[in-house]
Amino acid sequence: MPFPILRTPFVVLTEIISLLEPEEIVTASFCSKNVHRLLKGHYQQRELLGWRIYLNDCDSCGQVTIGLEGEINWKAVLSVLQISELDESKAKPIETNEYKRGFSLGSLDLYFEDRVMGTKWIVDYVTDLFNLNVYGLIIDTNGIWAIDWINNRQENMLECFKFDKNPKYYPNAEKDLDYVLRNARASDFIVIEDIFPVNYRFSGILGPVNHLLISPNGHWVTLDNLMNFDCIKIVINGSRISVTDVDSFLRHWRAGGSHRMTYLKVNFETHRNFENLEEQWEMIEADDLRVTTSFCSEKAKRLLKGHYQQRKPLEWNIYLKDCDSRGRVCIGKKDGRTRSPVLSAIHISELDESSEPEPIETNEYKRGFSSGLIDLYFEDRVMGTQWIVNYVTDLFSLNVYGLAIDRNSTWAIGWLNDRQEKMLESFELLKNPKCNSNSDEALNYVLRNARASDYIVLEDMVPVHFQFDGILGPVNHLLIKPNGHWLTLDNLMNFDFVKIKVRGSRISVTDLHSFLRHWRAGGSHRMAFLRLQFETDRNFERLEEELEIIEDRLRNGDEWNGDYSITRNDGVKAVIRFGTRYFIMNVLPPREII
Amino acid sequence: MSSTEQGTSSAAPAEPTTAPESAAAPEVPESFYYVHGKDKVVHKVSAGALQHSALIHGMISNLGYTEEQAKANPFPFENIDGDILQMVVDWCNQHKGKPTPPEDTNLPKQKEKLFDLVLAVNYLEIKELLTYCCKQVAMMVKGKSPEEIREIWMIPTDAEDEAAEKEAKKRAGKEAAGETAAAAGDAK
Repeated sequence: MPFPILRTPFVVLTEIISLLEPEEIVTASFCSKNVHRLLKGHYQQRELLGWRIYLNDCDSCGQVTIGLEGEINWKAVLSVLQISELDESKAKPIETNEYKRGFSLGSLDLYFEDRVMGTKWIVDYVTDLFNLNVYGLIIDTNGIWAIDWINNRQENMLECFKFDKNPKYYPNAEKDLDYVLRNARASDFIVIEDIFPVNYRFSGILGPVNHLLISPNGHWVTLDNLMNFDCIKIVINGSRISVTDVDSFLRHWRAGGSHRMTYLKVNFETHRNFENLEEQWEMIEADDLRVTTSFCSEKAKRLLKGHYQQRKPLEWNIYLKDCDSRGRVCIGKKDGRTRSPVLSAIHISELDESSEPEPIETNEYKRGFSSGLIDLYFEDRVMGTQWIVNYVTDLFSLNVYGLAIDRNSTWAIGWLNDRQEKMLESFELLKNPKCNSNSDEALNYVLRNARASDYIVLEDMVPVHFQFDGILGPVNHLLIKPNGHWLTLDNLMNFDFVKIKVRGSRISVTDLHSFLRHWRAGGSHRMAFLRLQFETDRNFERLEEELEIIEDRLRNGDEWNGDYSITRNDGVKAVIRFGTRYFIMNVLPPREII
Repeated sequence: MSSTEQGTSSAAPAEPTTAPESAAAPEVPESFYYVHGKDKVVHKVSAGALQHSALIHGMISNLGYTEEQAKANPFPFENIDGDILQMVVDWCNQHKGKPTPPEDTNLPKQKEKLFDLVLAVNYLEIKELLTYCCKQVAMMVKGKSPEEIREIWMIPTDAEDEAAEKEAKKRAGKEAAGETAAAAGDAK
C-alpha cells in the first residue's frame, strides 16, 4: 500500500528521514530532484554525529561507504563501475546523460565511461548530500589518483588512509609505492597492507599521524625509517629489523629521538635473540617486564617487592580487567589513558600444550608466555584471577585502582569491595555480546553494588525494558554509552554525580523540563555538567517557550557558554545548549574535578 | 479499558465494561475522559492512557478540564476518522503506564490506514506511537530501488513535478488576470 510521504507534516518527514539508513537515504535521493533537495536540506540543518564517509577505490570499483563511529561494518551507499561491466541482460538500467544506473545488494551502482571521473562524481554527490567531508580513503595501486584529488578537494585532512593489498598488481612498481608513502596524509591512521618488492627501500618521512600499521609486509622498514617516522603508535609486522637495530633505536629514543612515539610493536619475520639487549633492561621502564622478572626466582621477587615497599610507584594505577573469560591485571600511568596488561589468568582448558616455549608447571598453575606477557592457566579461573590480583598488588604494595568487567564477572565487585579498605577509583561495565547471564538481574546487581569514587562507565548492552529504581553514586563522573535508553527522569534526579554523560538517551523534552524545575528548586545540587545525546530527534520548541526558566540568550560561543541560561533559586546559574539530538547543561562557574 | 457508543457528542458515554487496571490501588480512583472523531462515536479513555498524548494531556492539565466537564463535552477531533481514533485509543490503552518497547507488536496492522494514522498521531502528539509508525514507513523502502521507492512513497518524477509546477504557474497567472479584469470592471 503506497504512502504519500511528501504529504506528511514536516515533523513526521524529519522523523522518517532520521530513521533511514545511509544507503537508503542515498538511494531515495535519486527518486527526484525534489526529494534530493529535501534530504540535502535535512542534513544541512543537522550535524550527523558519528557518521563517517570513506572512499574505497579498490579492484577497479569506486565505492562510497558510510560507517558509524566505532563500527567496522561500513555500508556501501553508492558504487561506480566501468560501463563495460554492465550486464544489461539482468535488469534494464536507467540511463542519464552522465551514467547508467543499476541497483544491486541494496545500493545503487552507477556505470560511467570514465570510472575515475565517476568515482569523483559519487564522492561529490554523497558529501554534498550529507554535508560532510571524506573521513577515510582506502585504495589499492589503481586508486593512487585519489590521494591528490582528495587532498585538494577538502580543507580537512583525511582521518585515515589505508593502502590495500591487491594480489592482481603484485609486485607493485616502486615509483607507485614511493608516491603513496610520500603523499598519503591522514591525521589518525595510516595502514599499509600492500605487498612490497623484496628489495624496496623508502627514504622519506611518514607522518605526522597518530597510528601507523604496516602489515604483513614490513620487511622494507629500516632502522632509519623507524627513527624518522613521526607517529604516536607504531605496529610493524613481518619486520627484518635486527637486534642491533633495536638497540640503536632504543639509544636514539633515550637520547630524545622519536619523542612523540608512545607505543612500538615489531613482529619479526624470523627469530631474534635479545640476550645482549637484556643487559640494558634496568634502564628500560616497562611495568610488564618487572612483573615478568619477578617470576624468574624467589630472590628476584623478594628484591622487587622490597624495592617497591620502600618506593611506592605512586604514579601507577592497578586495574583488574575480567572480561571474556580472561582475568587480567593491567597497569596504567596516572597521566595517560593506556593500560598495559602485566599478568593474565586463563582457564587451563585454553592452554595449548604444544606452544613454544613449553608451559612451566607449578602446584597452582601452568605458566605460559605469549606476546611478551606471562599467562597463568588455572583449574579455577576465578580463583586464578584473584591470585594474580593478590600477586601484583603485593609486589608493588598498591591497592587495586580500577575494575573493568563484563556481565559474567560480577563476582569481582563483591570480592574487591571486601579485599581492600580503599574504595575503587573507577569502575567500567564492558560490552561483551558473548555474555549469556540473566541481563536484568546481573545489571541490577552491578548498578546496586558497584562502588567507585571517580568514574563509573557503563558500556554494556542493556535490555530494552530494563529499568533501575536504585541510586547510583556518589561518584564524580558517570558515562553511559551507547545504550542510555534505560535512564529515566527519576534516575537522572536521584543519581549523585558531578558530571553525567549519556548516549542513546530516550529522555523526553517534558522530562527535561521537569528536571530543570527540580534543579532550579535545589535538586541534583552537586551536578556540574550534564550531556545527553538522544536516540531520536527532539523538538525543544516548548522548552524555549518557557521564558520564566530561560532568561537570556548568550552571544559568546565559547565552550562554557550556552544558548540559554537558567538560574537556581539560590542564585547559581547554569548555561544550556541543545540541538535536535543533544542537550548540554553546564553549571557556572565551570568546575574541573581532577 | 475503553468503551464506544454510536451517537452524537452529547450522548451519554457507556460505562467501561472492565475494571480499570488501577483498581489494585483503590485509594486513588482513576479519572476518565471522553473523545470522539469524525464519526461522533464517543470513546471513554482513562487519564493514564491519555498521558501518551501530549495534546490531550496539555488540554486536561492546562485548561483544568474536569471529569464532569469531559463527560458532558467529549474532546472533539473532527479531523480524525472514527476507525483511526479507535486504533489510537486502543494503542494508548494497551500501553497505559508501561514503558514502550522499541519494537511494538501491538501496532495497528492495516497498512492502508498508515497515512491517516500518522497524521492523527502527529496531531495528538503521541511521540512513541509516531516513532513506531515512522519506523514502519522507513521499513517500507528497505532494499528498494529509487523507482520502487518512488512508487511506494508516491513520489512524483521530475517530469511530473515540472508539469505540476507549470500547471500551478498557469493557474496562478489566470487567477491574477481574472482579478485584474475584475478590478478593472469595478473601476468602470
